Amino acid sequence: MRAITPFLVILVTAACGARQAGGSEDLEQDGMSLAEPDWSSCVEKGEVETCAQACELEGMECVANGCPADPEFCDPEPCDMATQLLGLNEPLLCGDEPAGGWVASSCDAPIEWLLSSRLRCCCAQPN
Amino acid sequence: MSINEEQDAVNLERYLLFRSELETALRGWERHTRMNFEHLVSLDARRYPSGGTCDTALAHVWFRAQTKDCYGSLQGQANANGENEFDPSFGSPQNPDGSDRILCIDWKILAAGQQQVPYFAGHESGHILGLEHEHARWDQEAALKDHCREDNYPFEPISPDRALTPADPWSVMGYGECEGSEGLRSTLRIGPDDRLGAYYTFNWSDRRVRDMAPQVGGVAQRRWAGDERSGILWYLTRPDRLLEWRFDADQPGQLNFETIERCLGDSPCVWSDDSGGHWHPIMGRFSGSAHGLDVFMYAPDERPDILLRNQSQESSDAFERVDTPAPDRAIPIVGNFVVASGRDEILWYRPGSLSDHLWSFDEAGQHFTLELDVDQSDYRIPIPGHFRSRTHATDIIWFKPSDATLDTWIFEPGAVFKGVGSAELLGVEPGVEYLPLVGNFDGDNRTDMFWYAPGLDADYLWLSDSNPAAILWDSYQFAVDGEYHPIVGDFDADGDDDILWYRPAGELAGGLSWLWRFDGAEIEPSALQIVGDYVPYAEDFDNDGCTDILWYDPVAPNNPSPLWRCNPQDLTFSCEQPIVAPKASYPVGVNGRGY
Repeated sequence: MRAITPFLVILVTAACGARQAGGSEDLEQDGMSLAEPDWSSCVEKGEVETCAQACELEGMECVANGCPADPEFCDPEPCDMATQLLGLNEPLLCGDEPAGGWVASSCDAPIEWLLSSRLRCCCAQPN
Repeated sequence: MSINEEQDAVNLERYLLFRSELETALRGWERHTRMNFEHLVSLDARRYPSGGTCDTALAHVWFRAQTKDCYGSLQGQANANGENEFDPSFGSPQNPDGSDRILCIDWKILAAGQQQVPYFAGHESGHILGLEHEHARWDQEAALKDHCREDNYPFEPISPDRALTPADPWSVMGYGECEGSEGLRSTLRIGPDDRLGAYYTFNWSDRRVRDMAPQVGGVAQRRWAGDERSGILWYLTRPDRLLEWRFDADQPGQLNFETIERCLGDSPCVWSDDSGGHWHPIMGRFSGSAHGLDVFMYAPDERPDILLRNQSQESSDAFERVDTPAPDRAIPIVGNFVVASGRDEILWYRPGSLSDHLWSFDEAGQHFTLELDVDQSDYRIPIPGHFRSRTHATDIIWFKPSDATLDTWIFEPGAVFKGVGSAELLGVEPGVEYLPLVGNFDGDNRTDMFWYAPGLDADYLWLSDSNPAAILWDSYQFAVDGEYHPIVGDFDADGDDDILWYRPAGELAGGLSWLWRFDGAEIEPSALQIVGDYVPYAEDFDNDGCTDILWYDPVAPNNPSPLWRCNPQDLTFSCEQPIVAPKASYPVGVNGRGY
């Protein structure tokens, strides 16, 4: 048995190029100010490939890392604001106090579904 | 008589090639079944490659590997299989002149076709498991070779009820030159779907006692007595009997147990209506308590299925027989999927069909079917676990080895939520051989998985970081080189699971075994040497929170089995006196290879 070299490889829902975000500057995109962002309604796997598309389905605009996340389940660590919220348990994910796996990412980052089947995205109404 | 040194060297080279490849193939099958093949090296006679002194009339010899008598033009052959397992016309102590069960690889293959030896070792040993020729699943009318038409000609499509896996062009059980099969004998090896078929045939799920939370009535031991005492329930076949070894509850000194015959109600303790060796005893908490587990005697064919309801909490050592006809040719998956009482259900999974059922039981052992969508039409390995937490219902991850995809099911009251994904994002690759070992390696009461890839491929530890709404993992890469039989248990009594990587030192690929004690994602390895080839049965016999191991040896005369007792204070095992185990038996709930 050769040397055992454990090392962290990938965190489940890590999205490449994501940045930690939070604060009012995220509420401005392309020179347009947005209303307070909130989690979208749930979409099924296969309906969209990015959060930009998910928000557009509702006539909204995606806000990168504009919604609060549980730091214990938010990737890439550390993060407390996120763009994506993924899960399997529909009532919990899609309810008023959503739970699942949060991902801090850009709005155009491909969704890494892994073991999840439903998605909510951080969206806001354009003013 | 003198030895021709040149010829002797040739014989040695070919003996080592034959032995090495056959041991490799059999280890490959062992990892995905509950079988254990033991090579009785002392009976080898490498100067007599035709078969040596290994005699199938000996009680402890099942088949002989040899190079002569590959009949006719056959380059390889095996005539040992399930159909003649109990055939009295074959060699035995009662019939020393009976026919031999053999596995043969022709001498000329060892001489001039050495690249094909791994194929023949895998193919012929697959027949010993009972696997048929894979090319029989295609019409051989147009085949150029006559021998392609030996099995299923004129062609009749294989019934879905007889198919273990999808038709597999790359199966080691096919002839590459026949219609449908692909590859060459120099390249075909035991593949993902071959292993899947072996798994379906010889593995079956039990209640994962170590994966249950005490908060919901879980007990991390196999208990049969109705109280705090752990035990081993031995299943003896032909005729069928159940014997319990009931260990004393508190054992600071010598390990003591009493042997109790567990009969069926008022019936004789030796059952007259055994199923001819077809029963799979499935362990679970179906009707009562985690301190008195039940046994579901499942016959995958048309023979009777019965639930043995444990009455130990009703002050009886007799099991109550409840006739319970179950679906044929199904894979039972045991878990606490629905019922808040803590009792177990059985999901009858029929790979490749859409007729799966989820059964629950009442206290009397009567079953009823739950109205839930539990159809799984694909061919997958079910991995039940409490990935979200041990206080939630059991989840199932369905793994498909050929493409490394995962179906994930979580159970909530009245609903099953399903997701589909790929394991590749976390390192697990399509087609690579893995044993997904299940345990609570970081002690957080969420089920983790160690994806062990025998050989040189990378291994991955997935630590669950899940919550009630989503299954999430942190993945860590490891390098476990070599082929081991992993045993999961808590070998230091610190509340999390560890892995003992057992390697029988007597085989050509043998060597040291290793004990990994986990501390989060870190491990502390230590080396062990285990010379014999055993079936390890891991259990905390003495209730000290530290997992002990009975090294069951079903082959040695009188079956003396060493017992290692875990000493948590000094992180070692102590060797107790070997215990004589019942003949022709095995423990109910004996682990496979950790999954």
